[in-house]
Amino acid sequence: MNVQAVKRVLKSKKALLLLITVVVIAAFYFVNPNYLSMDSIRGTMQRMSITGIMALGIACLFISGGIDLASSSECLFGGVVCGLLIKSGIPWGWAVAATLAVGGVIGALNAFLALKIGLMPFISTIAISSVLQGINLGVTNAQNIPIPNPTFAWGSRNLFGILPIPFVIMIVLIIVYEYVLKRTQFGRNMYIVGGNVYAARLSGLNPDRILTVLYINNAVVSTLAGIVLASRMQSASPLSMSDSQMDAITAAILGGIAFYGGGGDMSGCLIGILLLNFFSSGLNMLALESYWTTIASGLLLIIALMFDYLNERAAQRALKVKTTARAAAPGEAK
Amino acid sequence: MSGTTQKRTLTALKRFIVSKTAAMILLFILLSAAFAIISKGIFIKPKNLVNILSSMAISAFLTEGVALLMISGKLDLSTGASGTLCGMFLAYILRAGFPLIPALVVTIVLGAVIGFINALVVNSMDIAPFIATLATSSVMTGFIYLIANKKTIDVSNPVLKYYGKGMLFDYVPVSALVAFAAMVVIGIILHKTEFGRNIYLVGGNPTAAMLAGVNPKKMSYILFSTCGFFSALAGITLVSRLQSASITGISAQRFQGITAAVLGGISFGGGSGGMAGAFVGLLILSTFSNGLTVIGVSPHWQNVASGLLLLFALTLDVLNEKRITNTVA
Repeated sequence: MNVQAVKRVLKSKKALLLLITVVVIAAFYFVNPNYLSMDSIRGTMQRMSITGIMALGIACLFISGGIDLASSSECLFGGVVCGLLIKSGIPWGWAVAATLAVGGVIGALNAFLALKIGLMPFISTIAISSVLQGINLGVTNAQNIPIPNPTFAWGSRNLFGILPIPFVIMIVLIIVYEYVLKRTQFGRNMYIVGGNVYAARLSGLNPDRILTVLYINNAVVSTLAGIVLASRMQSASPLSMSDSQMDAITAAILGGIAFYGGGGDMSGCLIGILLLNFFSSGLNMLALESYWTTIASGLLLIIALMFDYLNERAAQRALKVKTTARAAAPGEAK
Repeated sequence: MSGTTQKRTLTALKRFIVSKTAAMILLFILLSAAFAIISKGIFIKPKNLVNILSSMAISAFLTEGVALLMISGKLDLSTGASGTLCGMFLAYILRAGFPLIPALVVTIVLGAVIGFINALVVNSMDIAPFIATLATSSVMTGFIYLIANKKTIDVSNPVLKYYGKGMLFDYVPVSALVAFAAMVVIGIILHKTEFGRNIYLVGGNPTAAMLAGVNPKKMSYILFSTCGFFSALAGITLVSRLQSASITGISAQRFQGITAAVLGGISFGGGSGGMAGAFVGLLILSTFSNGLTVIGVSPHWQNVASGLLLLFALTLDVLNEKRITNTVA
């Protein structure tokens, strides 16, 4: 029994992905041993936590069949709102709470447009993204907002002097989401809604309500990423970072989150985040110009989508085999 | 005899009045009137009208490519990146000493090849067009930076300058004329040829199209390539107008094609709409963004306005679709 479980883990896609990650890290380490120096790893951790936090919200949406292409703008918006509030003299704790609430409102708006009005979420969230980005640039006049508040600078500190706080936040969120997905009714319902909306409806679930929660969750998590970024940089930048959203999507799909819903979990997502970020920081270390990273991450997204497709097809084939087997044994079918 | 003809004309007229295109024309007139009043007449001065016309050239090209794809039920979100890349590429090879005509041909072929690659990614793995084209966008953005090497590339070519900035009879921008001519040609192809009707068929019902002997996959290869071709034209137009290629390129206009198409009644579901509607959508879009500039709204806040306009167009599209479904039911 136990041996079988171990075998299953070893055969799983996640183990393969972990192996690839290790190979990637080892390869870069051989090229330059400095790649695994404490400073370098800490830098990678800090960078990955922003896109990582965003990837978690997006992963949850994907699992239930939703999508939000405004994550980057929500992230920047979060930083700008938080920065402006702190600058106006509000204690940072309250500023953070207020910003997260604003994120919740944006998420609710996304949910309203997609679910109540019936717009296609991928295009309506692009429109919302344009609106948010316009507000960001208009309010700040496209200038950085410095946040001269030493108590707010927690994002640049390390826990126990080792782990960067943003990374700790990401890990805590992963644990929370994994718990919700695997141990709660809501988490199980998320998979059902993503797998088959009609079946979910027939079994008495309210898909719209679940998706609304996830849209709000994604916007809140994205604004949180923006707050963490602002805290780390001690300034809020309104300028575009559309790459980070694509990175978040890539990490999620790479980590086995099904793009069309119904599959994947947070441990896979974590591996996706690790793989993507160690890969891109390796490219950076090779002192390649940043455009190579951009090209590589676009290609990675395409590869991840291909794996997603193959996965889906394999699952469908397995299902077909099962149904045919059942049809061949009429006694069981009754 | 003449009575029935008259009756028929009347019904056609009635149908037009309640149609979406008529509503959009009305919206266009209202919008223009509002801007004319707010700007105290500056908006309708001939010089500004010419400005609007020439600003329409680039978005017209973008609309043409995307509209065809959308009628067939597909979508391309990479037009901004591919157009910018093509413009940058043109500037690069011109600087390297290519003669103009071969350079233009190579650039346009590059656009079509980019479109073909998009189709390849979409078709080979059944990936949703919007995410596939976002991914290829990211790759192309990398190449744009690669070619630009942190600089803008200047282009000084009299022919391109005439195309980008020249005026026919002092009032008609040459580039806009070319773009509108292309629109007329596409309109004719859509409505008068079998190929055009097949595009609607594929968009309306791919299975039925397949049964009727039309291959939706082959169609998508053709239309994605066409879309890349028009994106290249948009990029070339911008480079000709500015006489330089920068890394931002036409990326600010990347969703204008979609907005104009949806405003003009080309539905996301595919199978409906046409070039006349798309032209009206384009008019509204261009009036809107020019009007905002004229009355002094900063470019930053114009992002907000264009996002809201896109949402407005999408909502209209959905409401229209619902109405049609209700009528059928």
